[in-house]
Amino acid sequence: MSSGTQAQLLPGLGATPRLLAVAGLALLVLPQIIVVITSIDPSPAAIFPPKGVSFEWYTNAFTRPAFREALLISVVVASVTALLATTAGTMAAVFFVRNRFPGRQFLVAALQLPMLIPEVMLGLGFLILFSRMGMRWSLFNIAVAHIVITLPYAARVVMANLQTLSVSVEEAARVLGAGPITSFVRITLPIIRSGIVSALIFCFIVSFDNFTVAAFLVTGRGTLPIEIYAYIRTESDPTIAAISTLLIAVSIIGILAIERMLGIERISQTGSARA
Amino acid sequence: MNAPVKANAKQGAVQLMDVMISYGKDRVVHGITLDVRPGEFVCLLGPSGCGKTTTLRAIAGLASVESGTVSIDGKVANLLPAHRRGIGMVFQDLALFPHMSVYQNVAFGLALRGVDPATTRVRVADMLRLLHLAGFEDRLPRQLSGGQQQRVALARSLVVNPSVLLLDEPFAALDRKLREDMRREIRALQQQLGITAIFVTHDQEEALTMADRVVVMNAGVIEQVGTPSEVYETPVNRFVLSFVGYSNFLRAEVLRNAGGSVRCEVAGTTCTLGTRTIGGAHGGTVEIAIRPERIRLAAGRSDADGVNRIQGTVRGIAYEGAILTYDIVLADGQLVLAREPNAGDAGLAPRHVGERVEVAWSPADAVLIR
Repeated sequence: MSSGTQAQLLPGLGATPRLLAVAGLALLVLPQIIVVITSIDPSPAAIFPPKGVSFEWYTNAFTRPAFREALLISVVVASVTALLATTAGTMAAVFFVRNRFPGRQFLVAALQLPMLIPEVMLGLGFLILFSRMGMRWSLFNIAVAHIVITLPYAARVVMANLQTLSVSVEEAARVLGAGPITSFVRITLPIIRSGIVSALIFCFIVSFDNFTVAAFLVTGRGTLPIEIYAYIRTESDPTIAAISTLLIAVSIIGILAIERMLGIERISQTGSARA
Repeated sequence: MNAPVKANAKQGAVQLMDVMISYGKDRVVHGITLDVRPGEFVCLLGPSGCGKTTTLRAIAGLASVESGTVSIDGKVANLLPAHRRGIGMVFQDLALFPHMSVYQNVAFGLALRGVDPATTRVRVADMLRLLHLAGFEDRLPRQLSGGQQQRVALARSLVVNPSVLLLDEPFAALDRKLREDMRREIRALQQQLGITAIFVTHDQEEALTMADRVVVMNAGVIEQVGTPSEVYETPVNRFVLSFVGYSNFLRAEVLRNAGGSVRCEVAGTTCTLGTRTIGGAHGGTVEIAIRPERIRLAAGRSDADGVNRIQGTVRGIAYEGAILTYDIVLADGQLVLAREPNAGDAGLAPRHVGERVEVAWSPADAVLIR
């Protein structure tokens, strides 16, 4: 990396803060690099640095039915969570941004509560609640709990986005003949699209990563983090490192894709504005 | 050029009857009655917070009326939602759809009216040509200059052939030169299309230059309705007098008030006033109002009889190019602003700060207040 790009990366920073920032980045990235390297170690004891190169643990990760099933469960739970939490969060955001009433501040703050309560408390709370209610379908319970946890993220992101949209844009659509639904679908939604996409991704990731709450609620087959935990309680081979590497790769590809989608849009706009 | 069809001559009437509007507990419009005729260009003029924008929003259906009636095209529209009123509106921030191209912005209203694609293309193209926007179809709003965005907002609201066009301070973001061009252009378009226009502004110059009738508003009520010259020349109260144009307000003592003329003393000098009064002033201490451009600085010249002259000293001169504004102190310390054209050699020699001058004005140009 040239010094030019580094300066762009951390603009206006002095030598010491820049050093601290680089150290922080290293702390975040190095463990992941170690995980990636460990994943190709042929020995079942997960030794670092590895003594050779082997893809045996990747094969293991793919061929174990428990992991395949857990991945599918995780993707389904995270997708359902992302869709429902973003829908509900968007509705809440529209309501709170477009209406002024007494107690609004309090309700907005209350909406953020699931983010502030420790997940252990939430997990225990959900466990007690669901068992009292006699709800025994654990995956459904996990999804409900994940929706509650992710709703604050979704509402927050969409609210921030909506606040940049002038009310008069929606009013202009109404005066031009658009009813409330047409105006929302044709004007509001496309304008806050990037916020909604971010909310979807956020919620998906939070749900996909969530271990604590799921651990309280799981009874039969669990989500991927649950299965990973179950595996490392008995095994110490680098299969988990292999799975982690795959997840890291998928995350990077996903982030790059989003960056490209939103980034190119932005670049093309400013580019032709200058032309 | 295929100019859009002229609106039906019977359409475009807007009537407000005792309209009251509140936001929560605050009443912002206190009973407004106004009759806007088809094809008329009416300006709602007033300081910020006077209720002019709220009144406009009530006509558009964006603010709900507490009591009274809003009628459009002769029909009561109080309960008609904004999207069924068929009105055109240009917003203060223009409110262009940022994610749509110029073409899509303008075509939006037509699509909602179920106009077929072929007709839509023709009407959008005609409207863009009319507003000198041909060739900009595929641009996004943010890729346009302020003036072009302004035209897109106009095109978008005019393409649906509304009988009434509402404009809420649409020139706020434009620089002075562009603003003057847009004033002329909107006025010409409005006359060409024959539509009713209701224009909200706090800029009295804008109101005077554009409107057929000016509605001067203050604190939620209408102070005066009249042609630009009526509200400027014969204001009905002190508010209109001070808000529309600038006026000097001078303290005066009434000496004699007899049929046809009033004698009074201003800064130690006896003056004659005409019969123009506001608020039934008769005797005692009063105020007299004189427009700065009605004052001549007659340095020792003897003008026609009946012209009042008061001694003063030039304290400051504001050079505005075409006009010179003089700041004059009278003997008793009162300040007078006088405006004279910068006539160069054809006029009088420029005055200097500290120079003694005579502030001269004709009795007919002064208004006696209270």
